[in-house]
Amino acid sequence: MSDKTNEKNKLETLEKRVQELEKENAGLKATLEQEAQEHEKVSMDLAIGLSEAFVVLQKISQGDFSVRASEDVENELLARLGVVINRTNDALSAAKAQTQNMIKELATPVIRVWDEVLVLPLIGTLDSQRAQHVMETLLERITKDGARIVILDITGVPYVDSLVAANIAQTMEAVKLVGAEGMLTGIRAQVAQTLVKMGVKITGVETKSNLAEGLKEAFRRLGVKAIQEKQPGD
Amino acid sequence: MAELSFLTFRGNIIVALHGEMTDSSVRNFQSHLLEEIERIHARGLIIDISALEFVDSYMARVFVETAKMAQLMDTRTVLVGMKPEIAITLIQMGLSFEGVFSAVNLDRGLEILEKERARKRGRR
Repeated sequence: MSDKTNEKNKLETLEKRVQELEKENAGLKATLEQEAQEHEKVSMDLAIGLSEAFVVLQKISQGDFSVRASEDVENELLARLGVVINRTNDALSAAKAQTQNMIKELATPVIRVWDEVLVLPLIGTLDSQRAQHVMETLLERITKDGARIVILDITGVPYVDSLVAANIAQTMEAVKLVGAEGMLTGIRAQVAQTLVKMGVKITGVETKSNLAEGLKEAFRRLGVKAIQEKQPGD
Repeated sequence: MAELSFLTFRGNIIVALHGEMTDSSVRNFQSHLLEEIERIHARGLIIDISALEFVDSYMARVFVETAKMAQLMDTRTVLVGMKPEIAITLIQMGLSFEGVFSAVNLDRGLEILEKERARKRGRR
């Protein structure tokens, strides 16, 4: 009799144990599923975030500094990536702006060679943007300094296109309008050909072969005399 | 536009324009100026536009026209103090300023008139 009850009791405990295990198993399965889902979501977020970051980087590499990577995302890694990209972007665009400014300044050196005489030596190729900048800078200086004579020396300009030729003619006209006399020196053979072939009229502007001749003419107009007191070597 | 005042200096008329001008005030300016030239037999005319906000193509044409009219009355015209941005715009519009002298400031303007007068005397 006692053996039978014992057996029954054992069976009951075992059944209970099985039930408990089953419950535990179900719980574990649920957590696993949940974790798998979360994992999937994170990797999805990462993939989307990374592809967005790539698009931004690609635009930056093409010189478009107006794009921003998103820094305000849930994923910490992506947020950090965004911050780094944006910082790099800022640094690059600042450097580019600085270089452009420097080129602009170097490209238009207006020099006062005598009282009321300005010289602007142009070197290298001229595009219409630079020609426009030259015109603005020169006119500003004329009004500021009250210059009488302006010599535009284009010895260093090997060739011009039609737009630039027109721009030079316009600059000379504008110089006259603000109240100074313009002079053009150092026109190269190639440039002279272009100007005439394209019918660009540069009216009322004295042209001299080189800067020295231009300066002499400026002195003549101002009534300034340069006297050579000694022969070189004496 | 405010009342125009014509100053006379050594036989020259000096007039300064400022603010904004409408087409009608520009026309008004032209006729009054020419009457004044006739009245005092001005030898030179200086129009100071350094305080003008802008110069449109109509105004520019009137200036050139006035200079030609004054020339017929034996009066030389100098445009004084044109701002660079205005000069650039007018040139890019393709306007011609033939027959008009320009000067950076009033001093230079008077200087040009003196020189022109000397040149004329020399020719005579």
